[in-house]
Amino acid sequence: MSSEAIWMRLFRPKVGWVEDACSLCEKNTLFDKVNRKSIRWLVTRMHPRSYRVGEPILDMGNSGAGAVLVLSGEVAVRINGAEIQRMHRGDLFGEVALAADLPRTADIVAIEDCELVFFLRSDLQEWLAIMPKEAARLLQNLSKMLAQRLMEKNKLISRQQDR
Amino acid sequence: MKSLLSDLIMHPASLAGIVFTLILAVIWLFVFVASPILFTLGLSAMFYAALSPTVDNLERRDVGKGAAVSIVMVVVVVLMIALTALLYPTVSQQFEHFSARASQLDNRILALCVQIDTWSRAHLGTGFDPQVVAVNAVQSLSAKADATSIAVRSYFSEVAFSLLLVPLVTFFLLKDYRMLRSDMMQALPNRYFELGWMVYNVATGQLQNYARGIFIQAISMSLICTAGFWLADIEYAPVLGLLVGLLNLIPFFGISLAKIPPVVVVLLSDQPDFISIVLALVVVFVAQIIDNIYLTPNVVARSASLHPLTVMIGVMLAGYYYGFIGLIFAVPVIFSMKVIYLELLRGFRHFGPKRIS
Repeated sequence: MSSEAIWMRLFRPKVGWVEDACSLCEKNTLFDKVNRKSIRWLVTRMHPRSYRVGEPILDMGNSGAGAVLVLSGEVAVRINGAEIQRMHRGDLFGEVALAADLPRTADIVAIEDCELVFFLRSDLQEWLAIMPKEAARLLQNLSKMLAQRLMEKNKLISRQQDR
Repeated sequence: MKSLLSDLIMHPASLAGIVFTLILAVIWLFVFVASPILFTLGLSAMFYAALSPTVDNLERRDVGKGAAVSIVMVVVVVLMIALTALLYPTVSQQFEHFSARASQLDNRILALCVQIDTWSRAHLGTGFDPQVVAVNAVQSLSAKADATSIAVRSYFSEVAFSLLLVPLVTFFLLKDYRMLRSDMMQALPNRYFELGWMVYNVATGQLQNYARGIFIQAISMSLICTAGFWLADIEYAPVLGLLVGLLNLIPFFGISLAKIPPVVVVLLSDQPDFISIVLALVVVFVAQIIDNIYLTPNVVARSASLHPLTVMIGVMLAGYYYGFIGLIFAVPVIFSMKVIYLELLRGFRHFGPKRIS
């Protein structure tokens, strides 16, 4: 992808991925109870990107501009070089950046050629201004996901302290 | 040596400088190519900024994007046509009236000088030669008035030409700007994609705040001056107020330039007198005090912290190369350049040299 010409990126047809990304978003907990029409409106404003095998997608410590949805391919989540998880079609990662401009907590690398869709914080803010009710549902889902993750981390820390 | 050079190039400040230079080159090329329609594009961008919240509002009420843009544009075009039809006869009548009076400017200045000389001789025991002072004043005033009139005339002829294209360009901006912007950002390499969007969002946010500040400042100054001129019983109060509001946007030089139009109007009135000139100057002076004490520190300066020397040199050069439009747009352009460079620098620092290399 990094060697792809600018005009190829500019004129890449984008109709195909919208329907695909819509159906994947509908199944994701982040979009729970958000209606299809709003999801489609939002997805048309998202940003498709292609990555080659081995290409870094997100770097730990860097500022994050938004979340990323895997359309196709497989990516690895690594912390200090150690792989902790793999993500596939339909998975969403980096969603903390939807809430705040915080540093990324892991490296994400493409382990296959992949098609990803970036859902940026600015897209969410725009959506919040235009469709506040629907966007509020997504923010509610996001806060639930982040709270759940915090509880899991807390449990892990208390287990480690017990040992 | 090679590593030192590489470290130097990969330093955030150097990277920001390289990207900034590239952006400037692209902008310069665009300005060069689009120069005949630059004013139209600028005016359309201002309309876009003003109207897009209304389009968003309609979209929020389940109106489709195309329909929302069409409704807003039809309303705006109808309003503009109605306003032009209503105002044109009055403005043209006032312009003819004003032009007729302008030919008597030297007589009026002479009459005023005689009036001041008589008052001075009666109360202070000293006087001057009204004929000599009047000739000097007319020469100096007509030189300034000619320059201002040429600049303002070219400005308004461009406005008149642009008015035909502006609705069309605004329509497409309202309809497709976000899509065009996303398509342009797609050209970024994967590694800089997030960085590019972050820099864009922060920079445009700051620029929007600054533009809003400038707009509020111009409107407030225009309203204050209009009210002041109206209370002081000076003719053409709304037009004068608007002109003073616009001239006041020019840093440093605007303060003195803004005093010329009201003084000329008083001199060309049916009964020009010394008190009216003083009142006109007091109105501009009070408006500028309000601007300096309240508007600039609270509305504009917070967002545009530029060094006075930078502003002064920038305004002089912009005025020299681009005339009246250059004087008005010098500070916004310098401010935009500063914001873009600082945001690039901040972005590259956040992304870290290790990551970028």
